[in-house]
Amino acid sequence: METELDKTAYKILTAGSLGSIILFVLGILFRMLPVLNGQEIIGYSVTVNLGGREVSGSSLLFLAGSLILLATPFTVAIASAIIYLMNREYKFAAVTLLVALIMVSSLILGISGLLCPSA
Amino acid sequence: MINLFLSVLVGVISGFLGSLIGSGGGIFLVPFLTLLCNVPIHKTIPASLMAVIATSTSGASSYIKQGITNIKLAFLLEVATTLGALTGSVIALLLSSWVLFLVFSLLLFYIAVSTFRVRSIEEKPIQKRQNVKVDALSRIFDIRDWYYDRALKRKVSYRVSGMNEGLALAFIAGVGSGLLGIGGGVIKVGAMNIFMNVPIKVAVGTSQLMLGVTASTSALLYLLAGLMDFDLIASLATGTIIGTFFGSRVMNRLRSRTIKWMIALLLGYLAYSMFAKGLLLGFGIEIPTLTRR
Repeated sequence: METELDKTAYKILTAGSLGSIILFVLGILFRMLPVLNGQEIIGYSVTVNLGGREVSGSSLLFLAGSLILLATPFTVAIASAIIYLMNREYKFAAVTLLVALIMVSSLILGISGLLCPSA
Repeated sequence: MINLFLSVLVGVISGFLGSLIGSGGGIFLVPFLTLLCNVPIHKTIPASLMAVIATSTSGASSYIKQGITNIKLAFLLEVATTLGALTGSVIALLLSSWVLFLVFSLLLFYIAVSTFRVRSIEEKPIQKRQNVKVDALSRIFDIRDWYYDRALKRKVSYRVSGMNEGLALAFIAGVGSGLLGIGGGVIKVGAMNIFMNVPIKVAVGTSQLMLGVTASTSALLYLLAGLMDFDLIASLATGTIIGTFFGSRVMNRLRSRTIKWMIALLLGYLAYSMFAKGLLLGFGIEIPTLTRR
């Protein structure tokens, strides 16, 4: 790896992929606990109290892993833009910020609730 | 909700088969889940996109470590690809399931025929920096880089050109990704190598980084439309990574001609079944298939 950008992108991608996979595998193991104990498979045996609501521990891990996975490419884009700005490579900083902006617009379009899936 | 272990298995098989033909596995995931497990196609597409992000992030970090990813080029093309992905996912959310089945079947037919016909992936030789004809857009960004080719045991320098064609094809790859939940890496790699004077190894490494950015743009929209099944995503992503890991190691030991025949036949059958399901859902016309409806 030659540049600061390469090193930063590598660290973010490695952390993102490892973090999400560890959470997914832990979640799957949580689901397997009843099977390993010889009980009937009910799927949600390990629960967490979240604001007075019982939530499956494995579902929480799956959600966290998915969010980390979703955020990883966006984080790479933002980190790249910052490094380009620090290196005064303004053309590439603008391009990378534009990509991040398009990703955010996807988020805004989703939040607006304008799109509902067809049957 | 389908069984967690069944979806891990579907992920493993899709990742394994996908890596044998150089794809991320999305082209197998969507038909397997919709045809064999009866998961609605609007839920299958975001799950497949998340599996694409998972394989992309792990693959991209390895290519960056080897110094063959061009991050500047990746984000430049991503302007078109993310716009395409946004367009594709909006269209997918507005389209009925049966239309998506028919469009997906056409894509599978095309890939089946291509897999059958193409004898090998031929790399277009890159031109030396001084011989490259550079268009206006390529001149503005002026991307020149090099990588160390371990097979050739030397540094390979290149200068990026053909930005207009590259951006147009990147947009099409993005639409395909958002619409059908596939990675679209084959289009991006081809565009970079054939039109943009990028060495094939750099094109593959750069495409890996792009896949995750493109897929996450579409996936965000599906997330907020309430179409994400996190149990399905976790099991598929884990399975796909395992399958890709083993597939890439087995690939070199298998006879490529035999693999291509088998995969082309499987893709052809999946295309037929997706077409049949589209006809059934859209027009109530039933044609015989092996899968349950």
